[in-house]
Amino acid sequence: MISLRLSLAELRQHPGRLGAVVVAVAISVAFMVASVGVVQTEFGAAGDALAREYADSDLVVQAGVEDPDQVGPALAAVPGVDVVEPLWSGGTSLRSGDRGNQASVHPVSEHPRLRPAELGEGRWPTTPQEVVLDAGTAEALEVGVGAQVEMAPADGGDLLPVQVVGVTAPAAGLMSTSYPTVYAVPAWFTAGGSELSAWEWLVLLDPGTDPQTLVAPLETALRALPGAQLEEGAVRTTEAAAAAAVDSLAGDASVLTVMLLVFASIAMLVGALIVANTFAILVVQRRRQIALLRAVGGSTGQLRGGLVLESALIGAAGALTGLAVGVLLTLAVTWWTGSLGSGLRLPLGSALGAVAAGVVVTVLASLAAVGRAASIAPLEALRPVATPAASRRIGIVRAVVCSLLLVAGAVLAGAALGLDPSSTGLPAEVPLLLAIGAGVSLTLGVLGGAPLYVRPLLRLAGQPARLLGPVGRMSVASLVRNPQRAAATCVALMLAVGLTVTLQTGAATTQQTLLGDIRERYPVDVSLADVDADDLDADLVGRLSSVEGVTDALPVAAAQARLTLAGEERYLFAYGVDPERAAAFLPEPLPGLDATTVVVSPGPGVEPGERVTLTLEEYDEQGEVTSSRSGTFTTVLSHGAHGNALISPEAFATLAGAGNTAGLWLRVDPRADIQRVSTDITSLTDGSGGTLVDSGSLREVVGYTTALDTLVLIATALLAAAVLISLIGVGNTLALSVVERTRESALLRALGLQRAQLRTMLLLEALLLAVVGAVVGVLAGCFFGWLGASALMVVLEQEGVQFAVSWPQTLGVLAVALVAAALASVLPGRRASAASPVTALAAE
Amino acid sequence: MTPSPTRPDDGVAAETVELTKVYGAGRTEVRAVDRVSIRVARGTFTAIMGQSGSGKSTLMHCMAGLDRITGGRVLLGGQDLGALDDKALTRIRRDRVGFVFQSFNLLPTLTAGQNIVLPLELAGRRVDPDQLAAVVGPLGLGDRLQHRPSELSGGQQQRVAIARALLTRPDVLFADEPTGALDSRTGEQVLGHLRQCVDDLRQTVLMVTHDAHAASWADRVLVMADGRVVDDLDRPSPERLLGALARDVRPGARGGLLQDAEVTA
Repeated sequence: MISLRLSLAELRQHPGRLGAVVVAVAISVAFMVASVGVVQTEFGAAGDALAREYADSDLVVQAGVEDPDQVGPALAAVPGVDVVEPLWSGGTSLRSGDRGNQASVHPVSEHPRLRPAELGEGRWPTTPQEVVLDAGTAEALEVGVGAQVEMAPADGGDLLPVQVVGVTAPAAGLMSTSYPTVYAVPAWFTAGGSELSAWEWLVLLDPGTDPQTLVAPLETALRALPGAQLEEGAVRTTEAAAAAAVDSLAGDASVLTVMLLVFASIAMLVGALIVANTFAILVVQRRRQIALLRAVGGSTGQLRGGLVLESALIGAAGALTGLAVGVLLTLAVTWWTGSLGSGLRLPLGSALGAVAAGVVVTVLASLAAVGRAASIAPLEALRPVATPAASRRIGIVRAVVCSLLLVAGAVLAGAALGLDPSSTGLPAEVPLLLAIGAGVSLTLGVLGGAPLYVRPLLRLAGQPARLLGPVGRMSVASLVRNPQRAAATCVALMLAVGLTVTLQTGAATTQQTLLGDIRERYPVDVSLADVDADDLDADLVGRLSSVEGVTDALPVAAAQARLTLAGEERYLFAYGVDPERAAAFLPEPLPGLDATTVVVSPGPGVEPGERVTLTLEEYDEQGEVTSSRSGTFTTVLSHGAHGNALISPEAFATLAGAGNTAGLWLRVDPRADIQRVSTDITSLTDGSGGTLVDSGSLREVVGYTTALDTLVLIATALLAAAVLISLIGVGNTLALSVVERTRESALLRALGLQRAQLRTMLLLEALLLAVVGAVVGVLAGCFFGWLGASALMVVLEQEGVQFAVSWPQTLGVLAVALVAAALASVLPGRRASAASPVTALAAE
Repeated sequence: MTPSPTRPDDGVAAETVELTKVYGAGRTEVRAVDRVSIRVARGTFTAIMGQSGSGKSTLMHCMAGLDRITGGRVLLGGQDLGALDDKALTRIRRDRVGFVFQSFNLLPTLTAGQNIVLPLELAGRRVDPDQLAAVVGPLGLGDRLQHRPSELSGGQQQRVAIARALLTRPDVLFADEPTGALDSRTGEQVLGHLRQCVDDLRQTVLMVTHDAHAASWADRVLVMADGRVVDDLDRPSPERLLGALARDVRPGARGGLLQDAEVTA
């Protein structure tokens, strides 16, 4: 195994040269391992949390029977059964001061083995007037142990005061559903005229009884009950029920895992580019050594074997490092979220798969360079030239293939945007698929063609650097001397930056387009109407108006109404608004609103000038109409109606009598933190005790914004790994070229170049590489983001795509690329400038 | 930088006093230069000759500010190099020293013209076109300035290096085996150019070589062996030089004809 010995010797001799490969592989493998580990552990913990309601029971029973009250006694009569407790579930609303919340209610058994949660502080309730709140709800209501809150009883009547006697421990884990929960004694569920009924029971057995042996007897007992409907697994051991709860999340977990692995694969792809480039450079540098090996009788087979072995060893070193880092990362993340408490779940198969992937990708990426090494002629060992000039002739084949790819991509993109699925009868996804095809084709064209345009781009970007004198000129010259190498380095960066910016721009464009549409159709930010009352509490109006971010408030008349438009009966709100005062809340003044007209939103089949009957209605608790007053109006179309019907205050007074102020319009400063504004408003309206309905746009806008922002943030964080790897590539290319340029650096030092100037030269080179890679990436990303969002809008039949770039995020990516590239030049710069001119000149 | 007026012009371009350079320590210690004291007069062509390993290159590197010395003193145009930090030393190399090496003299990424003006540009000084023409003209490089080193012959590359070394009007032009990588005819031309610099421009040249024929172009030849100067010859013929060299490789030849004190005299 001469090749193995040589490989090992090579690795021992120059460990640093391959450090970048190890780091790049390690990052992608760590990413994969951590993705799987974190998702599995989090979902495992979430499943455990779901199973928590079964507490320490022995069996879980689910059954539908005619009279649920019979289930308890029937089960308890089976020999071996100790305790049977119904697992009630109910809902309620809570209020404390001006804060309110909807919550589900869980029963707290007297039996200590059936406690549904862990208590953080206080004690469990013993009377229906006592409750325990989950930590999140207690925080939202700003109450603690000992506080009084108001809570709707099980029969849905008026809110009654209850005492908070305990708060549960905070929920652990990312996936744990923090739905507001109140824990109450079983008596709460049956109090008053409650019609709640249980469909699930927990069973405790006599000590020493095997739960499995009681499954059949319990099922028999249930079947004997009138109207019994038992599904498969009606009686399960708690262990089985808990496992089922964990499994119920497995689908979500695998979707998330696949998503994360896609990002990890992107990181690995970028890593592969770096590995391929590193090996290509190494083979050039070892040219003479390889030739010498051939000259003394090494066969190409031995040579190839040695190099493949070397890449496999490096890949393995990187992958194992990555495995260790990935496991540590998983531990750290799940410890932070609290999920680690329920155990680390990292399937061995996935971990080993990630390691294998790391090794295989490294070897595959090195093959091109290995092939080139094997073709080095023995005679080259004797040639004195230190570095061969890289081939400047760039294949015509490359130019042709890349042009074809670009043309094909452009055609596909045109088709994606030009196609109208509704008129052609094609499936709605076709434009999106075409856009993806266009994206792939254009990406391959742009990346594959990099050697054709990176050189001129580097020269262009180097123009300002030239102003710095000889140092700047020499950096540009060094970069363009090896266009393939510079191109490969830039391609990795383009890919990573491009993907990140594609996502950011796509999300920003989608957001801008959808929000623009929402704001156009629902121009009123917040439009509240009380369903039950004729006026809003003046105190509430005052508090809502003074919420930070609310710039204007307009009390309006409001009532539930019925209106037939375009042959369709609609239930909506009728607002009596003064058009002049309403104008301040709308982008355009309300046209022609007077005592005889009704303003409605434009829509399919809705015509202006139509005679329509608007009926104001009141309902009782059962939903029966208790009063109904109609009037006839002529329709006027304006988005200002925001999906409702606007009539003049006079017309409203004629129909419903004067003095109605059941509605309130609010205008919100668009620059305010709209999420906080929305939360504040919701908290006030939920806590008001009335039944307030909001038909404004703010909530929806907040929903979209939050969802897309979160998505982009997560995606950017995940792609950061790819960007990081590509920047390691920049540092690596510089480091390897510094090795190559040792004599050159020495000559420069001998001729009077200061150390700092030498470092500046490398800094400029790193920045130029980063600028070209990142700028091409940003431009391509903007285009692809726009293309993807546009195709998506075609699918959603949404017109008027508004191109938007998320500047802070995109410039952030650019800045990170430049700063990191500058940092990447530090070590090579130190290395280059530390060498004494004499030793460097003597070095062959 | 041209010699500053405050510097006393004692006719000495470079001087070493008991210069010692030691590589390594303990058992691997090598005394590359051992207490050498020499003076190089302004406007002269001096050659340092010796076998490989005699310390001639190290002596030159120390005198040119390329390498740090272990003991003694080095003066360049009256300036003590031992007292300078790396930055100042680099500036000295840039402004007051010119180099011509055996090979790899030029930066492959720059054109011949850019290579020639590089030290001036590094110093942030303007290039005087007349001065440039005056330097490249006699060297026959006028039509080669736009070429890259890879497009030039070995002799042309060496002439570009000489032009670069001359352009800053250095106190001393150091040439390290300038003919080593050239065929004899081209080597001859390069030596002729160096000679011309001394005769026409009063440029001080210090050349290191192991080639007796090359050394015979010099006004004065110092022969080195085992880190010491063992011979100091005025305008020697090649035959005489070969004889001197032959004496020095004899066993026990250390010390040679002259003692250090006599050399400095």
